[in-house]
Amino acid sequence: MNGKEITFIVVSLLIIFIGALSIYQMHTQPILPIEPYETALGIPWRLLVAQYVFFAVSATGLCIVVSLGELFGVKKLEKIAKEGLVMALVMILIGLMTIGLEIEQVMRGSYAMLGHTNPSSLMFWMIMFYVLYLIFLSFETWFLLYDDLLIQANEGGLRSFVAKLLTLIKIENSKEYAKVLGMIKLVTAVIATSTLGALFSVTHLKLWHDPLLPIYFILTAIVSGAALIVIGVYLTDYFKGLNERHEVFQTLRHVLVVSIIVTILFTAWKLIIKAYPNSTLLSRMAVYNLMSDYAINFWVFEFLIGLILPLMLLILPKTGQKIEGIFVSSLLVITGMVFCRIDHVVVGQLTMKISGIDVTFVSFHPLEILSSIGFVALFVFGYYLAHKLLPLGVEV
Amino acid sequence: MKRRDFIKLIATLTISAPIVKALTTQEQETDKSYAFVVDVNKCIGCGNCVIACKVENDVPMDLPIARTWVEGYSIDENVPLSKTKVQKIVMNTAKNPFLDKKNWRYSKNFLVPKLCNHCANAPCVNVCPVYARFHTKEGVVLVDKNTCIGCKYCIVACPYGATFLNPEEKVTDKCTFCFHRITKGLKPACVEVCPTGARSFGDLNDKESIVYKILKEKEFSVLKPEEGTLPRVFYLGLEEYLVE
Repeated sequence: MNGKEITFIVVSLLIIFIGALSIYQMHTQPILPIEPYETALGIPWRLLVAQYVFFAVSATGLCIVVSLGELFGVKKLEKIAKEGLVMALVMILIGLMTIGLEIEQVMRGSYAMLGHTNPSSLMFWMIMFYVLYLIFLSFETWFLLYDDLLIQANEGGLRSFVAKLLTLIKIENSKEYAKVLGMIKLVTAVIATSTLGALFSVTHLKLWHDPLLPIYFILTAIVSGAALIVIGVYLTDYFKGLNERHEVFQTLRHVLVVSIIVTILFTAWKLIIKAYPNSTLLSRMAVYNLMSDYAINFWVFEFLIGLILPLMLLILPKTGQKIEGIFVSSLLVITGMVFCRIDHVVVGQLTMKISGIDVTFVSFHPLEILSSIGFVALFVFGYYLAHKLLPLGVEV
Repeated sequence: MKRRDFIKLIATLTISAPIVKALTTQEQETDKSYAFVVDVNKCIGCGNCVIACKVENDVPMDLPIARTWVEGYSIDENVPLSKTKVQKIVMNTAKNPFLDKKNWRYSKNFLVPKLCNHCANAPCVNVCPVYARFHTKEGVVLVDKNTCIGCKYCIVACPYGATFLNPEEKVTDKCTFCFHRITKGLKPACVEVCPTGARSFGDLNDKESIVYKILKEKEFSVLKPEEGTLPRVFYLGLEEYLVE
């Protein structure tokens, strides 16, 4: 372990600790008095919900992209299956943790486990499908890594201990199981993410009320999933000092280009239809809020930085054929996707009037931002740990 | 068991389940159907209802969250309809903004008291993942505060903005028609303190009740009928095209 690595670990743990303190403060207020910024002074679903949407949808995207290689015969993407699945696993775990800590009385979820559930609530179905997805994904990853874990068990040290622990149960033909579970997991992931989209769709809020929103969520899942796997693979190879997976990047480039083009079309038509003079006043107001009050978020970050600029970088041969060009495009795409989720969740609620109060602009509480950064740090650290302890074919 | 027998068994169980349930459940049927009537023309904006509700139901007095609140609308009538100017003022704390004349900017002014509409097709009941929101037999929508997980989906789903997160209890909260009072034969707190009788409450199945008489005789409307929520709060004299 070198100096840089130690610095990385210390900084990550520090950010995670600050994030955890922020969450604790948000829920219990031991230092500051009660500050109901999540109620009438603002909107109920805020930064952490947007972050959950980002994590949950991206995890599905990762699974879809990985399944292209694992299940649908795109040979060039087979090389990233393990990394993609582990990244999806860490991502969905952190995502569920984010929403769990955002909910005010999460411990009462035990009632739901005892059957006190409402089947007409899409939130119930979303939670159920994501939990199923997590279970299938965990087992699939385990089956896929099983043979490598058997080899790793002879290495010695902590890696060996982890491998021995994970291979206590003996199985044969693990790759076959992984394939079957992979298909089931893919279906569950797509259903879970479309249910998440539908959860927003069924409300009266005009920016959300859209039967195609579940499809839009799956589409953007592919965009963010492909971009995230590019970033993950690039950084792994960079720290390992390798430059062998050029074909993988090129395939992911094509996935990104197609999905970004469809996303641009989808976004444009969605907003044009909602803003058309024949649409209802509230529908037009919702789009107006996005285009005017949140113009920088939408036009600069979500549209220009998140879609147009990376598309140009990917299409142009000078940048698109270079790994660095694809990596930078992916970073831009992820930046855009983060803003896309924030805009979707936050701006969508601006037409609400809790206790009669009009909300025109939402500012985030510093604790929200700190806890949000904490969760990102937790994801990065979790992925780093996975690389350290699991046989992903590469060592950081 | 053969496959045919298995299918028969499943079919028999499926059909007989509701019948068995109906025979074994001994629910007390009620003949009450509560409703609330707000006469916009009678509201003077004293704010007694807001304060009484907060005191009765332990809602933080100084925070802009309320089970019932009053919206004041000030409209410039002397301009074409397409350029109509509307000024909205809200009273949801103990501070009464209606007393300040500067808030009444235009020529036509009126007040609209608002509360949970106790919808028959309540979006908050539909979306709650843990059945913390439910209809009573009398049609009142209640919150089980011991079950609510605080996911805030109901707040997002309510088209009337009538539900909120109680920052002290960390669960969602809303008007219950003062269920603890009405089950004892008392009126809701806001109805009790209204000096002009702008708020009326009663049983729609009781032909002697005030709400039955009002709704039978007068023209009424509901908020946001386009949402299809079937509210139990009815308005008299409501300027539907202006009120949010």
